[in-house]
Amino acid sequence: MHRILAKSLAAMALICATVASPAAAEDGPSDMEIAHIAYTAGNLDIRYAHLALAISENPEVRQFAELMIRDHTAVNEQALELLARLKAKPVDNEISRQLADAAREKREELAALDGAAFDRAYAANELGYHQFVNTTVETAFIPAVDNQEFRSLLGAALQVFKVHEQHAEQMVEELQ
Amino acid sequence: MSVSTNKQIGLRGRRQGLSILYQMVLVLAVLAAAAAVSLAASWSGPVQAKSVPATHVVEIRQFKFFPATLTVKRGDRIEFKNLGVAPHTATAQGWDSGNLARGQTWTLTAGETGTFEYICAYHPAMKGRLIVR
Repeated sequence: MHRILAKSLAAMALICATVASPAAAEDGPSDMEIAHIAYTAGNLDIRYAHLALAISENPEVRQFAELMIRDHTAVNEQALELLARLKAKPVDNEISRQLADAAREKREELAALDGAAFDRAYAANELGYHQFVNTTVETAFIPAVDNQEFRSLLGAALQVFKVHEQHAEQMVEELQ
Repeated sequence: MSVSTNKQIGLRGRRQGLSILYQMVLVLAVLAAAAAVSLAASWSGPVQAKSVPATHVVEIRQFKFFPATLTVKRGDRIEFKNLGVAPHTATAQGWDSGNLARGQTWTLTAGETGTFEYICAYHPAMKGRLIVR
């Protein structure tokens, strides 16, 4: 678990370093790399949610998982619509790959659990994951994005993810 | 009653009968005119204003309903429009918009009076109130 957290923090450090460096305009992730990272992050949360629906029998956890699938699917569909309109294509990158690797390990860890232990671990992961993604989107991505429409969509999506973070926080408390 | 009147006309003679007939026609004409005036008054009066339902809009954005409280008259239409990124609903006991994706609108006709507390079924912290008078 600490290893996964360390990987997430490493990804965060990588994002912040590339965006905040003096030559950020040249060295930081491009709009299309950011689009790929954001889209990947949404998809990874949808996969966590499917795992929760397969394992959990707790109505509150299942309702939260359904919410994650519904909201992240909607946000990602709108991102794809925007990209299609801009005739742009997301660009795969090291940060996306690190996120996907960390999530794969986390899914394996969660899949080995069941009952209340799974519910608590899933809730804690959702809280940590949304905190990490939200901080990244707010402090690193939105200030770095050049395209106005894309920045606006990220801002609207951040609001959705912050509601998820609050919801996850309540879920963690209630499952203790 | 009318049979009795006819009988009286028959007894008093044709001329007198005709005179009563004229009076009755006159009374009927006056009554008809009064009814017409009354009807005309009612069409141009408050009944007309009451019969045209208004349309109100509740916008769903930033995880809130705008306005959070809306007062309408019975028969009015309320359009719930989702301007947010996430899907939402407007759900009360007795009515439900179902899933509203971004840009979608659902229209409710206020059928009964009362105060209706509603939420988004997906994000229950989102609350609104509809008052129908």
